[in-house]
Amino acid sequence: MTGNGTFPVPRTRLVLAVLSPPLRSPIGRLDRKRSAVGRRGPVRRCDWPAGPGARLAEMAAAAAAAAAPGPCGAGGSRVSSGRDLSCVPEVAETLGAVARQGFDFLCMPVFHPRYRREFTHQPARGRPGPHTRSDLLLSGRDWNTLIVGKLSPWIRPDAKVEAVRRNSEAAMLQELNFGAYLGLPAFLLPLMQGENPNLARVLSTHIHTGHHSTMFWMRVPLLAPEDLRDDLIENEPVPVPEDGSGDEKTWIWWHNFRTLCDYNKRIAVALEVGPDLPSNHVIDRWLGEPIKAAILPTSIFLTNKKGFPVLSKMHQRLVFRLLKLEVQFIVWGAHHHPEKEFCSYLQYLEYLSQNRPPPSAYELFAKGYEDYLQSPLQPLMDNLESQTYEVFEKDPIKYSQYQQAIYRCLLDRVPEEEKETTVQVVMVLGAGRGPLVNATLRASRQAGRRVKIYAVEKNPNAVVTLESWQYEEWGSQVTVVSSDMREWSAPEQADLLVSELLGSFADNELSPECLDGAQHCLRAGGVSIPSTYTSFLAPISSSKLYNEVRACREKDRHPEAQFEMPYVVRLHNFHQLAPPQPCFTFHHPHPDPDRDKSQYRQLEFAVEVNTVLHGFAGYFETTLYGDVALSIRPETHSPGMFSWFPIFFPIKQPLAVRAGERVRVAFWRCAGPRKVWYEWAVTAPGCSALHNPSGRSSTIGL
Amino acid sequence: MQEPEQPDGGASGGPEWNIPPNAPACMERHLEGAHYRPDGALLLGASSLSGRCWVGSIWVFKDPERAPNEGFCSAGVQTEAGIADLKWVADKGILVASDSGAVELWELDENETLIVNKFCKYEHDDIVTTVSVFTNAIQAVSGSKDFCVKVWDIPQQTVLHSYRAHSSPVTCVASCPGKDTVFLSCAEDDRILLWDTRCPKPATRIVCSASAYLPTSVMWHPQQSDTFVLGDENGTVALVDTKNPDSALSSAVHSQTITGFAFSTHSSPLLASISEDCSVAVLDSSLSEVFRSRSHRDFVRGLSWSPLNKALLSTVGWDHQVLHHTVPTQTTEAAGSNSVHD
Repeated sequence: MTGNGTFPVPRTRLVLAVLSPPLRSPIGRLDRKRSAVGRRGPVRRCDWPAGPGARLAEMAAAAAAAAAPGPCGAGGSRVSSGRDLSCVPEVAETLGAVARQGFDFLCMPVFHPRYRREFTHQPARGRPGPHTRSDLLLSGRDWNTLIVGKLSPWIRPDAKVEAVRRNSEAAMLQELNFGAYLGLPAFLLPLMQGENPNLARVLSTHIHTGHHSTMFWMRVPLLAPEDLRDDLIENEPVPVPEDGSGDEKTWIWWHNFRTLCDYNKRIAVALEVGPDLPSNHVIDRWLGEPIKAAILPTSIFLTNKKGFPVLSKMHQRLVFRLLKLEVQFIVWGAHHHPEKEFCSYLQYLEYLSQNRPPPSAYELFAKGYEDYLQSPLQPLMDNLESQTYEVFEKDPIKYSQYQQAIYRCLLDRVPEEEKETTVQVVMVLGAGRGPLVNATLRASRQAGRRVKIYAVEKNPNAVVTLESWQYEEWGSQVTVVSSDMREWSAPEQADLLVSELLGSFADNELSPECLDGAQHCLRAGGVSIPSTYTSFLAPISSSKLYNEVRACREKDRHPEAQFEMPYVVRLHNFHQLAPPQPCFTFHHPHPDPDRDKSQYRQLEFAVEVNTVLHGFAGYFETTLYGDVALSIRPETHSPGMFSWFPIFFPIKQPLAVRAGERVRVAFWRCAGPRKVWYEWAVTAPGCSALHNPSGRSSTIGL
Repeated sequence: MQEPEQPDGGASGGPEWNIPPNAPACMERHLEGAHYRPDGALLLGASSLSGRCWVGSIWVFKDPERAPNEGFCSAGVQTEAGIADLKWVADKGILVASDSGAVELWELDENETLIVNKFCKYEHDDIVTTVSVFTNAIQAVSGSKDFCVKVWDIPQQTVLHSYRAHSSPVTCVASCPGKDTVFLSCAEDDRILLWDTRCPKPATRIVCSASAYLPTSVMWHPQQSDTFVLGDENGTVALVDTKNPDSALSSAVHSQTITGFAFSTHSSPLLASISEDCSVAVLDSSLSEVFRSRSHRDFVRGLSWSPLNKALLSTVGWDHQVLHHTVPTQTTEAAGSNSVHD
């Protein structure tokens, strides 16, 4: 922490830093994404055609970004923070003072918060003079980077009294329009009750008229003020909710409000944190919401031995979780630690940010890809690019697990006394640029067992790499075969088939079809590595992902096609409603390789909270050999392995789920002669439409 | 700041033009409160709610007829932020509810030509909307948009109690005449609370069926110790007996939010009420209208009965007017339009 006196002074820092804050989250990151795929032209983010773009091309960029932290990486380390004031006697002076305290932006009323205005009745309607201060008091740049507007507290568009309601509507539009005129990056509106239809209507009206780009931050308390009052009223004790159901009240306010606003992307949450926190599952659920800011009242800070403001352990944990979502913090309230400078609140947040649990290698790798939708790879239909292979080969975990599996298998198959005489035939199916060939060679040396390797690859470009390796490095121990494994007639039968054909949802890159098709190469009693794999599904709530999917609508296809395809995505701003359950399993080798590889499965999940279902997260686990496994299921995730992000299956209509209800989903893996696809439908607590019937919106080509 | 009506200083002003040393040159437009001292000196609070600087000022006029002309004030001082409410504390003290979140004490000094600051305490987290001083002039109570009600010890300059019993901005607090621990508060959460700070659970909710809307103003009856008057956002005035709150007498006196009350010193006190409908009403004990003025051009924000002339009611508002109304008493002629402009 910097000392009190040496706080870096203001203006330049403020301007630079803040260009990012209110704008950074929505815009800065988008730009970066575009540049990652920029060369593909003006293609929508998630929709470059089934190309090898998706998982890997993205990863190449991510790896580069992680290696050399660019402006984005640097920006992430510092907390972006604002000051919320109700009283701003002189705007430029106050802004300067707030900047000197180290804040990046200022939340302030655009009209005096007590200046009620009358729009219907004379004589007050004819009130002379300006209704607020002039825009000339700050530069345009300051208005549109440093100031977040606040709606006047007396405005209640859902008031019972008609006169109050009408005045509130008019005043709200007046304030929002003036905010748009000033070019404010964001506007704070309070959400203080359950019923807000008229607030939603006025706000939607404003958003759909005019050409402003303001974000609207709904200020929602984590717990309702009614449940936070002290127990002081003799004849009205504070009700004690039996089941903690009061905890989720304000989430329901928000859920109803954003539903009324049709999940508009410009409406986000500014979560107000109180002295008491709700139970963990309620906080979990908030983390699936588009939280842009967290409002921290100074009154929730405790005082440590040295007199500095600090937060309780519970609050610290919440701050850490919010930091992961790159939330901006807003400090509200009077200065309650008078012996310290006001900036000590901010310094404490900075301190927390620097002392948060460090991100894992996986998190570092995935930085910038949070909630970013990508189409799953189709390596069978398309040939991968060199860089794609390169990123894959960097995975520190995957190939050492393969090596371990092959090593164990060789030891099991070849007794010590035969190690000089027996040569195991290993076929690497889909050898790519050869990482599994190398893993096999290393395992062979490690086990002291002899192997003969066939490296089978259908991508003629990668074959160039393989043949170079063979010529320069491997020698006669390895035979490179340029062929599709399903069509190749092998000169001899294999003891081991080694492949890495799994996708995020296990069989979604058609490993079953490929391995069964190549099984004729395997001798009786031979082994496949992997030997089995299982996909998993879990119901999730994430308005962020719902919105991302919705935004992928395309003119030239079925209007809801974007909801009928899975996406590979680093799940971040989401809430998992129940633990994942196994879905489809395949074993290799299989006694009947020509069987129908269609599968059908119904899964049922118990949901403990009131929530809304937006889709299903998909993961997989695989056993390579014996007990050597790979997993991206959160409970068993292979530490540090980054080759796969989860998969997401959306649903068209968000589905409300009440605590105690069960979510049931039907999932089909449909296999035709030329393509494979998934279909899915929710059947409880209500039925959704069948998604992707006959593979009309997404298929995987054979 | 431009005043709407500047009395012509030429003829009447000459000899008395004697501006006290630290009075601001200009009074902010929006007059927020007016209170007579027993000797007839008028205290005014002013805010600027729409201009470049959202500041305020405090003024004392020994000659109320001259208010709000800065040239004829007895004392005046600028404050850092707007003034939402202010009250006399005994003869010299002035307690201020500030937009800055502070409760401030000011005092008349130097032969009552200076107003000096005694303290400025930022205990509330948001705008302080209302203050009320107990009869002992030692304690006071404040209410704020931060939902809190605080009881203050004025000489000690400290908060004695901080109560968070409301769940919305507090709109009004009123200390009970003659009792030093009893007061009322009301807030936008629809609650009207009767407080006695001696009790372990100090608040009692008064459920009053006469008003179904947000309470905006409360004041105790000066003679009936269990009765108070309540005003709401719909303009309803209700006389409520705390012992029997459901049988309240009520009347739709105004068409908009009620902003304040004052009882006269008559043997059967008259009740004056002001509102955002820009009118001033005076009611008798049965809430029948005996007087109405519609001379204000904007929200009426402050009122006070003259201690020297029982029939004189003064009101101030956001139109920058200080109006002196002569109210007919019950015994004399019926209500007429005899309000007096300055």
